[in-house]
Amino acid sequence: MEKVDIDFAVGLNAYETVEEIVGKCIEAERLGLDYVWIGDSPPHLYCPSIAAAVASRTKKIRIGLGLLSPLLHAPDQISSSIITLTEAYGERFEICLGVGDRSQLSRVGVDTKLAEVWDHMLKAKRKIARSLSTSGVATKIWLGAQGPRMLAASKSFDGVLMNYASPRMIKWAIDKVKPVQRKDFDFGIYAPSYVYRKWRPQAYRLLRIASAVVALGAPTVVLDEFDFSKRLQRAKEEHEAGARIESVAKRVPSEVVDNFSVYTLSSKLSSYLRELGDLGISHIVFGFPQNLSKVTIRDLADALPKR
Amino acid sequence: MNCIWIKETHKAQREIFTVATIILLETSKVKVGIEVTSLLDRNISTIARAAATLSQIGKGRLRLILDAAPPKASMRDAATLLRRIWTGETVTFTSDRFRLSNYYARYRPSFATPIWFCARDPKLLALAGEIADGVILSGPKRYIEKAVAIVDQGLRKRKRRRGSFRFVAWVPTVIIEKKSDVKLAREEAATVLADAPEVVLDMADIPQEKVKPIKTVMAERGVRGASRMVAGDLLGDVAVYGSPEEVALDLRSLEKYGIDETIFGSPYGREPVKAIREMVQAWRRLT
Repeated sequence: MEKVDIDFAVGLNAYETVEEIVGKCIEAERLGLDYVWIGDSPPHLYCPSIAAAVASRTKKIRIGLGLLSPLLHAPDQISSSIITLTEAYGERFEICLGVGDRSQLSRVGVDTKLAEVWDHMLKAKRKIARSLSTSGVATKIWLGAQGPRMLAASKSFDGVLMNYASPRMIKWAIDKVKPVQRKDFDFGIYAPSYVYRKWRPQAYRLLRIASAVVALGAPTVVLDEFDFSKRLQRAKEEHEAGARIESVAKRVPSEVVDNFSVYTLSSKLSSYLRELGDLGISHIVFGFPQNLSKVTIRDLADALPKR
Repeated sequence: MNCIWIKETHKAQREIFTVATIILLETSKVKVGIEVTSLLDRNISTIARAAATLSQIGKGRLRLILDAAPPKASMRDAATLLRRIWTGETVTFTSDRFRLSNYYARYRPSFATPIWFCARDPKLLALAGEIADGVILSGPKRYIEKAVAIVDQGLRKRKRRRGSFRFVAWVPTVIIEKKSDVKLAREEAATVLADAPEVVLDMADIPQEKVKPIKTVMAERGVRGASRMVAGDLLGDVAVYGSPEEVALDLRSLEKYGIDETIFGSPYGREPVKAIREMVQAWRRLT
């Protein structure tokens, strides 16, 4: 495969044991991945502590924290975590802010239906950046975005991690961000992923669930734009009524997997990466269930261009 | 040393759970106690999962201390909710402070996390005896003696065994190398006294009028001015200071009030690291 100027990351969900997560991160570093991203969600373990455990057992792999929701964590708590981590382990950390999983946040009493939530993100970013700068800590701050307003707001960040996987959706999203004046601004994607050498039904089932979560959380304007609104209506109603995502996912059409996730045989990944490189993507986070085991992480690493 | 205690402070740009994680990662035996003062600023689910993560990393060496101003109901609710979350229960709960709806943790805590209270108010002290795993007491020695008795009442009310509960006293300590180091002890005593609620002073039999001028000067001129107003008897009531041996003996003397552990609290001495080292050596010689 020809050289591709993209950073590759694997996203980890912090519901396994700390030892399991750290073990996967050590393997990701050994396999030459550039980043690990440690997720943060109310039912999972605490992201900054996991990041510390990972940093203490790895040497150079960069560690992303997030998506961190300023609706759940106060900006000063986010910045002080990063300052503490950087003092202990050096400048290896980046953060991604965003609204977060609305369904999970509502379970812990967080109101996600704020008007102008993008403005809330901007204010949080400014506070965090100011605090980091005062402490002399240089940390890249990404915005996790999906809808047009959040995408537009990402211009004030150091980069945007878009919750899309299909090239046509990515192109649409990039157009919502552009024009960006800054040269150091990065476009990235963070999507459910399953890049495989040997297809495993369990991984595919989990991919379907992860894709359904992303699609059902997408703003209506996005679902309308890509003609998913009607096809997802019943699943959305069931999900909002409290049905478990495992059963809701069965009602989600397979096109959702094709559009909202990176799902491909490892030998076919290169053409997809080329397409994304041409669109200007410089950072790809292969999300759940790519992190299912060290084997699935190895399958991904084997499919990536050698550098 | 048995335990390292850290108190959350909003002035320092350090995040208490991250700091505690690093300490647990860098040590293997010592327990780490974290006094979380942001109980009402953080989501209760975040405190639950941060503590669960630290307990895992430290293999059961974490002590979680809840430190919040009353109301008593919030402390009771917080302790109850944390334990329900850690057992994997699906929790629905609504109060004016906490709101959970069909929330359940997807992680499984592999070690139990003891919940302690840092309390001064008598109602909270009694509640600590009823529901907490331990209590941290701080204040003049006479106050500590009476506070232990109140916590004991809580223990008896719930028919809990005294042995299953830990009493800890947090005492400002200064190792004196030169006579001028007493100034450090005076400054710390002034800070403690200025911050002491009336109920603490009453329980310690310290007349309010003796402390009022200290509070006034502290507010107007800061700690240096206030420290000059700390009389000798007040200083001895609030802080422990002297040679390492004297300090160790003084801390040990708290045992007679029923204290199981004492915290060698800041400011330690003119050279804190040296002072801590000397203090540890003196404590070892004593035990």
